[in-house]
Amino acid sequence: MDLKTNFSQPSRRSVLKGIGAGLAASTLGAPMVARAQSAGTIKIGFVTPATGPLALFGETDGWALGKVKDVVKNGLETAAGRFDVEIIMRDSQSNPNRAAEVAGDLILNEEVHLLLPASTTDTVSPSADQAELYECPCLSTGAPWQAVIFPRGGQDKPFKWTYHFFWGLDEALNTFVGLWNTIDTNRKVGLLFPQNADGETWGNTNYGLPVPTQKAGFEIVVPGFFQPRTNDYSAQISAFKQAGCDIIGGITYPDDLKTFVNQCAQQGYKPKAVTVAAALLFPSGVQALGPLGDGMSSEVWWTPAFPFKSTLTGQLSREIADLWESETKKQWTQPLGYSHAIWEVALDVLKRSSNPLDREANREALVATKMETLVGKVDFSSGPHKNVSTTPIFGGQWVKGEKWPYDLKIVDNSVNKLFEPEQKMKPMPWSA
Amino acid sequence: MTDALAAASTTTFDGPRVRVQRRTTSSIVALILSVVVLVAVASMPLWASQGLIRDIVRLCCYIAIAQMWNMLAGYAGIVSVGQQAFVGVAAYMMFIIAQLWGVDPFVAVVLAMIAPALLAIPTYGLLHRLDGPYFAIGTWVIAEVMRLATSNFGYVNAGAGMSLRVMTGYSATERAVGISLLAALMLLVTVGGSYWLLRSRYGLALIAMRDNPIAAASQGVNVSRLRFLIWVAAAVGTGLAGAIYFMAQLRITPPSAYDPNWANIAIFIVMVGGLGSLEGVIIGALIYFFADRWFGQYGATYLVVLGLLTLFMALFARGGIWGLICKVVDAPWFPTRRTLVEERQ
Repeated sequence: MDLKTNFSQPSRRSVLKGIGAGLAASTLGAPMVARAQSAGTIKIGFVTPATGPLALFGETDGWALGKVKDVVKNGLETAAGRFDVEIIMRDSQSNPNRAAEVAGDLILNEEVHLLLPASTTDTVSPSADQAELYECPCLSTGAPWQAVIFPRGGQDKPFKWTYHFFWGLDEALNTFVGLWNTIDTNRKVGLLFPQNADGETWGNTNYGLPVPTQKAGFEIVVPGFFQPRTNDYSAQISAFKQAGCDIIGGITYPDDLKTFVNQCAQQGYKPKAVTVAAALLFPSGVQALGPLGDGMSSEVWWTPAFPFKSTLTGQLSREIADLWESETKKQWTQPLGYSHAIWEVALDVLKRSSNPLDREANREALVATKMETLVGKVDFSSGPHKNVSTTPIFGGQWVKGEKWPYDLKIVDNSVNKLFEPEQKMKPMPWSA
Repeated sequence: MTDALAAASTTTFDGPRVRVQRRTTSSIVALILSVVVLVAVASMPLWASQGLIRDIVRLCCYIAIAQMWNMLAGYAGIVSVGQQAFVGVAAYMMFIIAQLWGVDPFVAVVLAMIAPALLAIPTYGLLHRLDGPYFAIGTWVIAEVMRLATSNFGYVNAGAGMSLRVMTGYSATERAVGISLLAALMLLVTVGGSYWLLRSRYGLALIAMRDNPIAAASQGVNVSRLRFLIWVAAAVGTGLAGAIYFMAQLRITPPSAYDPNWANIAIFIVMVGGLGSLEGVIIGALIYFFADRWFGQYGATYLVVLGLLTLFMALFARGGIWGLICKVVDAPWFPTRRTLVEERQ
């Protein structure tokens, strides 16, 4: 319920502002009561998919935003003095057109000093393009960095205003291989890709999953790509069965994985590992598989097992996850760490900025970012691209849990050896 | 033509002297206001902030797309739910011409109009035999085919989409001047063009067609040819709005370009504002624009309310808000009616 109030507050205010703009009378806005010591009000624009198909990402963003508002409610102490902080949240509705519209509005009409598009390519890329054109510092996360930089034409021509921290596709792929190396198999991998943009990327033979898999000495079997939401995987299953694949890898959405896994069980095909991206990100995806969800593995962005501390509240990952669970009565999800970390970086930037009310000064502070957050190190000087800082990624496995049906445990750290895995990977039990 | 008709009526009949009148006091006021608005839109860089320009351009895009749908549904009797095909194809063409071929993006918007026109011709050939709901579904299929084809077209970066980075090469003033002139041109072509068409000889045929296509055909109206012309014209008008909209968006992906929401927006604006009237489109576009601004963040609830409002208007107020206004006051802004007035002796 706490979440609800946090959402409706900015809405009411922006309704008032909208009326104000409509009548071309800006005086309608609520009068600002200036605090005695405050040197001004820093405005931060926050864009997140609060509704629509990607709303699961926005859920943690909205919750973390509520916590941050508490942190800055008495203002923010910066290098240039004490400032009030106004955070304006806008819903991208999981729609790229909407994201560009609200981002443009935040930059041009609300005149924010820093733009934070959080989570998913559909929200981040359009917002970042607006920030680049209208010259507003922009910090984003929640999407593999290649997907945010390359399609925007940043490969040869880096951006001036937009910075992104997240893991990369290459590391996610290596995590898969790392996971498979930890269990005893015949090293034959069956690959499952859908016929859509994600499938094309992950299944690409130049930079997709087949590349590191073959390099690590695994034999791959790639039957035809499947149509998303198909009802019949017998062609793929029989190809995997015939080749005797002990491992299944790839990318699918929860519905497709459910159909696939059920048909595997029906047809008596029981590989030792099923490692797929996307479908297993949220607990709901695993729970949808019923008893067959036990032992599923995928890449891990963040879990309560991360040993890092929040620079805002001093909380450990575990404490933040517990707070989320007790307040929302829902199991923690992986984007939660990033929803918190984006604010750690944002407030750190403003604290170091020589003038937080100046976009250029904020940009300079953003470029110079070097800090440890809840999800790991953020440092734009050492990234694979000028506008990118990579965060660590691990291999994880869903196992039967105590409080919730399934718990995600870190079982492999071969890509980033920052801390030890929680436990060893187990072969799939196929208990149903 | 008005004079000719009037002259004919005076010479042929021996009855009271009459003349055909179309202009009303309200229409003169509206015409003057329209010119003022058009000049204001074109001169936005002089008086508006960047943010306001952006909002007005978006509002102009809504008006243009809805007006084109209004011409199709309100006059030609064609219900399309696939107008996003033309939005997308024109916007993508503009991105190709500007970003990949390096042409000035403001010129590219105009050049890109070739794409929706070229798409409209064969699609009409495919669809024109279909009637009513079948035609509507057919238009949606075309839009989906375009989306899938674009998603697999590597030249435009397939499913990953493109960014219009060339825009950073222009100063803020240059961009404001360019987009303001384009927005004014778009209003002139779509709304002004529609008004001109409806007042012309074709307008009479169109209104006859709207009321009953078979009767119109029996009176010598070439219904199929007229429908084809309106279909192509609406495609170009819709495409122009699409290209301008995505020029402000800077980023395009197949799902955003061929978003079925374009058809929803057009249907909402026209149904709520008033089908078959130019005034209704403007009222509907203003309602949608402000509703979206103020209530957009309520997400699903907001969309449900919009849907219910459309349904309510369709069931209980077929003429939309403009229809309700007309019941109270008879003051058309853009009159297309011909009134026979008896002249005093």
